[in-house]
Amino acid sequence: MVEFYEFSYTLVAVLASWSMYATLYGKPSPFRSWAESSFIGFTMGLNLVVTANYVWRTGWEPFGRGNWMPAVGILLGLLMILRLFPKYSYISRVPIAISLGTNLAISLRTTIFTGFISQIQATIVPFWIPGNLYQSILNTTISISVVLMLSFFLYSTELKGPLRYTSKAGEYALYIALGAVFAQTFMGRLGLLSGYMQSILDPAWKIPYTFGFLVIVFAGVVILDKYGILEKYSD
Amino acid sequence: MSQGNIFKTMATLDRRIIYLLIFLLVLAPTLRPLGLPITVTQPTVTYYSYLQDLDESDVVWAAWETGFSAWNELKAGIIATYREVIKSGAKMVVAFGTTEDIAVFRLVFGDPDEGVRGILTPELEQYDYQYGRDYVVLGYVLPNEASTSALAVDLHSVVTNDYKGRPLAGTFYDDLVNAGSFSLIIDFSPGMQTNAMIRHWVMDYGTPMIEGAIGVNIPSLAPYIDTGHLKAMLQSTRGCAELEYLAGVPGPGLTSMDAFTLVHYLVVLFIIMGNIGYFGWEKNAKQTTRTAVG
Repeated sequence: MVEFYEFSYTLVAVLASWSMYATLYGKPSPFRSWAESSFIGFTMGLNLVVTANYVWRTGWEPFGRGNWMPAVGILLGLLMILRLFPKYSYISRVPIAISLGTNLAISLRTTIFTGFISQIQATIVPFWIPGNLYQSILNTTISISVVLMLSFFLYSTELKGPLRYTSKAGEYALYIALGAVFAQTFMGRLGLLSGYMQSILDPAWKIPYTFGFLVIVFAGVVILDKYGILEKYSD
Repeated sequence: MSQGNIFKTMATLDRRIIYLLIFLLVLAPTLRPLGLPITVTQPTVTYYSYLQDLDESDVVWAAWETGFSAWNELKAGIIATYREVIKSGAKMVVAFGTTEDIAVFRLVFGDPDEGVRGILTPELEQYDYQYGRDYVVLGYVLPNEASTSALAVDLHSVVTNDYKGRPLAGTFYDDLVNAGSFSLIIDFSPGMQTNAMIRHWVMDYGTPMIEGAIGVNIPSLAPYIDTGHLKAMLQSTRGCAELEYLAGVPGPGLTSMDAFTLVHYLVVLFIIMGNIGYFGWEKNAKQTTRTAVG
């Protein structure tokens, strides 16, 4: 027996999904506009509630334990509201500046190691590892590609002589890397589609509703388009 | 049909046909899985070995950051991973990185207080894995780098109540101090606080971290494997399917692999077709007048 809660949210989810997919028809449609607006509204509401709860738990409740430090943060947060009042909006730059500065400082302290020094160290590897041909090929590829790619990004020197060839090789290495990134991206997006298909088709009781809404939405799109009112009622 | 027209058709194929074919090739194996073979890659084997090494003395920091979008890509890995954590008996502290994760977590672990059953409820019951004793949920506590950093330094200065406002005092959370108190960090994320955790939890405290990454993030996170900041990475749905295979519990990941195989063949076919069409049409167009739309 399917619970009403699960049944109702599945129906809404399936209808909203097909409405969003209606954009693949190639024209704006009111179905898509409805789904998009609903999504924005839902997300805003959810974010507001959960974030308010977070502020309550980590900002307000510590007062009860005698910890007054979050008061500074709450005060700075309240100053942000002044952005709504043009006359005093300049004051809101103070919390923005503090937030930017502290976040940058927090991040930079370790980024210099994780994103820079350690990355360089990981590139300096032996070309040949006895007994491990595969790893040897990988190490050699990484090291040579880094050098070739760096030569491609030399902007202050005229690329002539050997540099002309290494930079060109670096450019091709870059294209290969971009191809790999694009393939990973495609695989990921396909995973999203496949995963979502499973969500709306499993368990089997969802199948009739999934296909029912598919027919309703796309038939609606085609009919509205035929009568020339598809784009009229779209955002 | 002249030769030029065939090339033109191949080069300017209506994209809706591509959408439809991809949709059908995903739909068909989802409804009726084919069971096409897959191979297990080394990164997934390494990832699995970290899960197998867990035991009752370990405490895991479980960062749920997928939201619903990345959940669809990584759900097979999430389910398989936390099934192994439950089996191991390791304790677990759950933290959310997006506002939607409370619902995603509920989908997997259910809500014993409200009698809601989740995907892993049978495992929770089988291994008597109980809330409060074996795992606690901090809720949405990873909104940004500052909070992630603060938690790494002192957990209790940031959170003392669970996601429902109940005090965590009296649970194993009392014994945890900072990021160094954890045996392993497990993060499933489309890139929310992953880098922040690497910077503040791994870099400062040396806590080992394994990652479930969406396809888009694999290239940007892969260098952290070489540097040793990440111990292992589950790579998108493919890695999740491999984990299911290793764990011996087939699920949504392995089902997805049929669709992956078919669609990837289709895309390769379209790339070849598009290139043949483009060059054939271009060669043909040199002899005739060519407009922007063909």
